[in-house]
Amino acid sequence: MSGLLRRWYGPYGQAQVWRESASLLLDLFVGIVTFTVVVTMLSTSAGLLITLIGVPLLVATVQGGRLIGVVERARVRAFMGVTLPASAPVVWPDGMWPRLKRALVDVPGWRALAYGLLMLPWGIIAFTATVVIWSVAWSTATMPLWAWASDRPPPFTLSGVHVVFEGRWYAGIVAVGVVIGLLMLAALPRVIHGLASAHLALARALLAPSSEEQLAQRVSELEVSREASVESSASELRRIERDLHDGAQQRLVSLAMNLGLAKERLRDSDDERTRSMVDAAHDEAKQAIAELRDLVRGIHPAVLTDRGLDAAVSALVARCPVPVTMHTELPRRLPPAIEATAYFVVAEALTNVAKHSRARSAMVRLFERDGALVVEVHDDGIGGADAGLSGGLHGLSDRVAGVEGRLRIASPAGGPTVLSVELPCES
Amino acid sequence: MRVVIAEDSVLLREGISRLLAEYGHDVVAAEGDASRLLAVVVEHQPDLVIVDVRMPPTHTDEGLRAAVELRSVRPATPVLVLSQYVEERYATELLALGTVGVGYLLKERVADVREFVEAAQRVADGGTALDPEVVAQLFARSRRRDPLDALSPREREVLSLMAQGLSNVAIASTLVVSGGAVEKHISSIFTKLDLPPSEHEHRRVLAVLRYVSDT
Repeated sequence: MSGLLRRWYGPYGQAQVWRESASLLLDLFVGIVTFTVVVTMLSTSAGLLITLIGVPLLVATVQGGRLIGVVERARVRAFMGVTLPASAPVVWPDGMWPRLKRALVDVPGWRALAYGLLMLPWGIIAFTATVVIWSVAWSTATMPLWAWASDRPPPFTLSGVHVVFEGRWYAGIVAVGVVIGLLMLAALPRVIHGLASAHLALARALLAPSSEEQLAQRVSELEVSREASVESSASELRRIERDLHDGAQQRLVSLAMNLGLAKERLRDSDDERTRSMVDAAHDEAKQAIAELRDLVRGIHPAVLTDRGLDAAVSALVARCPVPVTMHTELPRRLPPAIEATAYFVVAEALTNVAKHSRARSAMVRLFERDGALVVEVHDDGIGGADAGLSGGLHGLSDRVAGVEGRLRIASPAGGPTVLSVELPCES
Repeated sequence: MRVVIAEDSVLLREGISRLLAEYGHDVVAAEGDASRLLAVVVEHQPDLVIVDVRMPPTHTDEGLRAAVELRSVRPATPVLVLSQYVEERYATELLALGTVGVGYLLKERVADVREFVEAAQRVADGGTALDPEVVAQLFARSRRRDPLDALSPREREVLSLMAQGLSNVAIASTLVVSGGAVEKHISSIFTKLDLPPSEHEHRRVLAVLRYVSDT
């Protein structure tokens, strides 16, 4: 019994029903304000459109719609504890006409204006329903109070039946009224919640970005963050390259030079042991320089920054033990991340050509087509290259995916192999 | 000889100065910045300028650009360019203004002090000193591959040393053969590649480089 009571009448002890009711009553006043303002602004700007003053007024109206969204989302959060996602901020393009167009076709602005108009009819419904539900339920449930405080109703005749509120009958009617009233009181929080949910649905539909828009917003956020991370890792590599160049490499060269001087001094010495030790140290220092040079070149080749892709790739081609011909058509410098990716694609591809393909010749092509840099490496080797299996090619496809590029390999058994990569680079 | 050095690393600037002094050469100025190079050269009139490719302010290739500028303004000034990496593209830019008194070596070649000083002397005397790596890249890049393939391995070796700027005597001592043998190889190479015979070393280098870098 007490469980039932708590389930039915517990909501009156909680804030929700009171808040929702208050919000529904407020809806009417909000509706009156927004409807009046929106209708006034829209009709004024429509009327003035023929003179040019209407244009900025219309822009202000549409952008003002976003303000309705801000206020109403805050009200929904305060009264119902629901946080609706905000519309994406306006991204203003360059130039006056594109900006104007952007301002006038602002979808979130127009949707909020529609919300402002709909709020008046909705507010009337919500206000009326809330007032009626509360007063009827409470007055019916408190019927004995009215019966006790007021006089018994006078007798009357209805369709020839004479009705007199005799003591027992009257008490029965009051008792039935109390039962109905108590049931209505139990239903009230649920009905109010239903009405509030309807308003929430309206707000969600018109004031929050649609799931499609949210997705688009998310995609553009991810795009920006991906670009930033690609760029930051590229610049980090350039920094490491520069640090090694300025630090360890210079120091090693200096060390090797001093050992070289020592070696020259010892040239005529009789101390065979010392001489061979210095010789060995000298050779090792030179070896270390060569190894570090290769390592640093693998991190980021300086010539790529200085002279661009053509120069950097021709150095790769020159170092490849397999004869390679090269065709490049690159009229402009491309973004650093794109150049670096293309460079490492060619580097890895030529390494594979030299190591695995048993090719007698190869060809590298670099050109721009339809807003993308195309890198192609052909060889006449035995084929059978696979991006899924071999580690180098797999790493390559990750690298290409990092700048939204596409990598394709055609390498039937018996050859020839064609690796082609497209890297988008809109100017 | 009197030398001007442009190198931003203090360690190497002082090291190279010390090295040259050891062999009796005179470093008249050592700069840490490529921008003042031309003024310094005009002031000191050195027999040789040694330039690092990568220097402030941008740390990319201002040393090379300063060298190219120097050679176009004062073609008679011998320039030896040092770099952490040799790039065929840089070599082409540098050699575009002629092969008289020009050198391009990996920086680490200073470790072989005697050879380095010899190369510096060669450049100062109007000769050529190209890093073996540069020559290898130029050969690999050459589009006239077929005639190069016709050379015997020994002839290719001689051609490579020739392109580096070595004299007949130096080639002979490097390969440990007689001077006569070297001359025979060279005339065979010139015949196979259809090059005009030439006694002058730097003209010979020029012919070879023209040959391999012609497209």
